[in-house]
Amino acid sequence: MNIIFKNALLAALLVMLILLPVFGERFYIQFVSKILIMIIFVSSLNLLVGFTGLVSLGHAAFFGSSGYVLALFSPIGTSMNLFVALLASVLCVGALGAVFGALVLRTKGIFFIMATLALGEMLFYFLHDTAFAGGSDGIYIHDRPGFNLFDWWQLDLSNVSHFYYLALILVCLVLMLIKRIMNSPFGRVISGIRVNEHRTKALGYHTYKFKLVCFVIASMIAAISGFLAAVQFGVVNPEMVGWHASGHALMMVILGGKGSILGPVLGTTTLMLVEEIFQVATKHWQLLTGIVVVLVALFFPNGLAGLNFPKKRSET
Amino acid sequence: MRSVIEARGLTKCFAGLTAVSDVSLSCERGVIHAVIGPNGAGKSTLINLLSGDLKPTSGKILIDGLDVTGSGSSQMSLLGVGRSYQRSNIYPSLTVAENCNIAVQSRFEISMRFLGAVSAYPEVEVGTKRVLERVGLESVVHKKVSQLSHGEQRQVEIALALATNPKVLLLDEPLAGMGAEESLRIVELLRSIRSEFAVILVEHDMDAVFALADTLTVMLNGQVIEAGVPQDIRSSARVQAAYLGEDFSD
Repeated sequence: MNIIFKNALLAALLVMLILLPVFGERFYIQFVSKILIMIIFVSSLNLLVGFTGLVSLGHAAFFGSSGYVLALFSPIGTSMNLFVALLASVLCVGALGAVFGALVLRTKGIFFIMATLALGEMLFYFLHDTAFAGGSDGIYIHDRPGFNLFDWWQLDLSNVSHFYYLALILVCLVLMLIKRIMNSPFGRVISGIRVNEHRTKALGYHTYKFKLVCFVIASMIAAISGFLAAVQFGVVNPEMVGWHASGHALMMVILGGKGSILGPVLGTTTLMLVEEIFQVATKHWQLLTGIVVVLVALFFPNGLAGLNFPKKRSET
Repeated sequence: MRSVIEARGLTKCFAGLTAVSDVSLSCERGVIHAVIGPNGAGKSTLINLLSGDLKPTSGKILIDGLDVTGSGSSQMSLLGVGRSYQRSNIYPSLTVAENCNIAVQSRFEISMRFLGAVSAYPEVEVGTKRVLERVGLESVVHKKVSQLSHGEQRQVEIALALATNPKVLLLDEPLAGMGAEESLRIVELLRSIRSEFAVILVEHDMDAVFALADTLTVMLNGQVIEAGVPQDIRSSARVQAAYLGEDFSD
């Protein structure tokens, strides 16, 4: 009964999302696009924080560097093939994730948080203080990547509707991917590491290897969101890799409820809506946002996803 | 018969305290070798050395005659050493089936696969079902472990050890905190599976020990004070002194 209701709700939501560009205003299409991009990013962080038990404060390093890869590779005057560009970003960031992960996963607990923070900030200051990638101003992406289907139909990412649908499709794919991962044998080991790493080792697993693979997957998913963000705004800057961006995403993970697929969706949507509304209402919007976050943390310790729906497979 | 697991002169020092001192023992397939002794005798430390959770200060561990000293717990597990813990060391927030999935799939090269569902791997499903039938947990497969009774959690603990298909089973107080009826069930379980493993059993419940053990090693202050078959241990003056206190011995 409850499951049917939940699926019906999700289906209705999806239909509304699909129809939004038909009826919605430009501002709302762009705003929802921003939320969709953030959902991908927060979901990738949730894979680490909620599913593997690795609290990272440097995850934006992968979000931002993905945009930088696009900006640095984009030729001026012509537009890159979307899929080539996306693949390049995801692979480069995956490599960066492997290097970062190999280092930070040698630590545990609070030291892991500090190590991820440190590496993220190193990347921030590298991009901010050197001329390598435009310094503190960042880089503009003049020609967005696109896609041409047999000269018959063209995907134009400067068109807000086209961009919106791309983001919507990618969100759905990412959420399905994460669901699959968590139901797979790999997902079992990852859950095992979160709940009791000591026992998982004693059962014959080299847990470092599993955590590293998970870290790389999470960085690659974050790369998808960073790529989309860079395309949407047409510019990348060092703020995209800074700890503010990481902390913001972490807040959304906790708000939504860590360790559930739906959590990041709820957490991201709620926080971004709340911020948007308060920003219009008052210049002290951060104070109000903070109060909302504290209230949710107090009264719904399992996050918004732990509210109405009975927990199915994903455990907290 | 050749011993499956053998310890030669195992010693473990913790900053000045010698928890295990020069302990040698061995165990063959089909044999239950009980290690007993008062609290603090070093029994759990011995198990932790044999399972790779701790590294010995000196001495050797051999499995099937092969020197494996210094292997960590994950390597030991892959070498065929399964263990249970004194304090339940399982996955409380996962279901019983998920607990066993993790243990079972550690023996197959599939744990890095992240696209197919677990249910698409019959070897994991079959292995999980088999081990749950063995320990008698079929009725609670989809319950979270944290919702089970203490006795059932102890059964999960043993199920995890069995699910890795070990050659050696190290059981660290499997009956700890159990009621009489639950204890009996575990003793029955151990009796029914004993022929397949070399079992090293640490246990305080002497009824269970003498019901199960083929050989015994008695430890006191980290040292072996007596070893042999149950009848000899029962009548040993040194063992009685260890349990009742030196002053009462003559």
